[in-house]
Amino acid sequence: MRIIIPQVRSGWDCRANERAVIRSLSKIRGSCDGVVVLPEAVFTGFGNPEIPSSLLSRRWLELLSNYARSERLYVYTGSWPEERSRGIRIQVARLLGPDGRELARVEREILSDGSTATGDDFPIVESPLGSLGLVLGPDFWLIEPVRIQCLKGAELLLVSGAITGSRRAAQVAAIWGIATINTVGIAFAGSLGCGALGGSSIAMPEGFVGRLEEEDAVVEGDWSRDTIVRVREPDLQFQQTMWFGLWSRRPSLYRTLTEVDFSGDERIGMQKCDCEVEA
Amino acid sequence: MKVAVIQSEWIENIEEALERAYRAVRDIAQYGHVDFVCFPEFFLGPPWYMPGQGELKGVTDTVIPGPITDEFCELARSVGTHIVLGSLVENMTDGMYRNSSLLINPTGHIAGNAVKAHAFGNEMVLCCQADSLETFDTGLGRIGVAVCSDFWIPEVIRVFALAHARIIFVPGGTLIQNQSLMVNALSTAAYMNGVYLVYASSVGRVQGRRGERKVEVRFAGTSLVADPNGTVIARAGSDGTQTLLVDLDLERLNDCDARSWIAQRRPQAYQPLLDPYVGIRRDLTAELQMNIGAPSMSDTREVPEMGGRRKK
Repeated sequence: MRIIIPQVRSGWDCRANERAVIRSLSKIRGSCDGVVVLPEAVFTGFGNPEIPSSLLSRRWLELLSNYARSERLYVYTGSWPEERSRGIRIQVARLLGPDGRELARVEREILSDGSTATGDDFPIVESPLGSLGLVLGPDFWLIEPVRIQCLKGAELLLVSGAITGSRRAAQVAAIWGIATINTVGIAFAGSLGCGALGGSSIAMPEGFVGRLEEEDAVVEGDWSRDTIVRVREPDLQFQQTMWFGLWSRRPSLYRTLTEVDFSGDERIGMQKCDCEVEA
Repeated sequence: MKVAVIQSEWIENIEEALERAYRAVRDIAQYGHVDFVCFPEFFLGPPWYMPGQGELKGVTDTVIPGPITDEFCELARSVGTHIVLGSLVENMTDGMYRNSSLLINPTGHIAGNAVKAHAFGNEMVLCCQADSLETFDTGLGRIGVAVCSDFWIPEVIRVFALAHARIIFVPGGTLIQNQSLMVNALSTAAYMNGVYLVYASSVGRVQGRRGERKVEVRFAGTSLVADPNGTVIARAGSDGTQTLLVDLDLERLNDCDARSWIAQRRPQAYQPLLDPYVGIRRDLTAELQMNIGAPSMSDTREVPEMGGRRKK
């Protein structure tokens, strides 16, 4: 099976973005079965707070549903803003099955600066591709959300995100690092344009399978859940050790990660040094 | 702030290995004031419970405090530095062992003991583990010590970072087969948590058996320091002893991407972190116990609950 990530340059002109997405998808028609992952805010432009008309939203969903159905592919739609009751604006990303139907969605609030908020739910979908963890926006760059999905069994993370940090190279390298420390495959679709720096990547625990810089292009790679199943199985000869981080955890030691008012002092058992040293 | 990372080599003569370690601290003093000196895990040599190393029982393990640690305390005092004493196999004198990393302060006192909390290999059977993750306050700020395999649990570095540890020392050993991904994982952990990560590794190899199978364990150095921006600012080679002397610019702690990410955490939603991995279907401690034919510590003492291990 294949992972396919169209990295589409987009601005705040929704119709131009739509044409760019169609152009990009047309390049990958007939590739094979697998999953297509689109970047965060790919139709509206990264950071664009404007809610597109419901007509446009419906059209994009129909476009991608038809595409999924015609190509027999899973499609993670990237996201676009929608309005909920009382004027709450959210980014919505959907996972569509090969029949074009919606299987799951991730919704994240849009903050006043137009950025996407972190969330409280960390969805997983079982599929013939394996257990898929759905990620939207900055949750990917926190340790905890992705970790929770992997603890629940996610084998491949579909990420509609963006590289926006001030250290682009480190942020891209971290995609692989996150794959390693969680023993998981990652399909990261990075927004491009409007301050988002591309970096779409396919990463496995051992390294990158493919990645893009800041070009408008498609990155593809092979995916087999068996690879992850194999490296997650304990090898008690300890020649292969990547299983260790999932199997050897001691959850009672990590309680502070769940404490809302954790201030980082005595509760984790701080030891005080009995000397003061001149710096 | 200046740190020194000692990359040591396993040699057959343990007395010589010890003398080299003492000498390394004395030599560092020639380069001016150093705030922290960090040694690798098992800097004296392989522990007796590694494959084929049974004759080292009583040789590379030691009581704490004892003559070896006394000497390091005296060195720390005379040089005026903190020593993160890699790790020693601590003989608890009641038949039990721990993988212990001492923090010795510049007044020559043991200021803390970071015991490995996530046992690796035969340690799962033969060593007891820390029952908490502790940070240490020093006159130079708060630090954390993650002993080797503790690093591979990302929750550990996160716990330290949220506790405001600014520098996290990782006395470890780079398995040759993990070398490239180890470097990237270390810099990723530094970047995502916005901390300095100081990693000290040794060079050496052991051969022996695990169960019916011959194995070789090879450690490939690659000690390094990664900054809060995810940049590896110093890195040692993979086939010999080396000392890294590295200046840490603590201002970088205030200007890193991790600060904004940590501010967006939603800890109330992270309760599932306290659940075990759903894929656990085997009792690894029991399997290892059968492999090495040793009684499990969990047969004689209560051990903390952990995934895949027996709980008495």
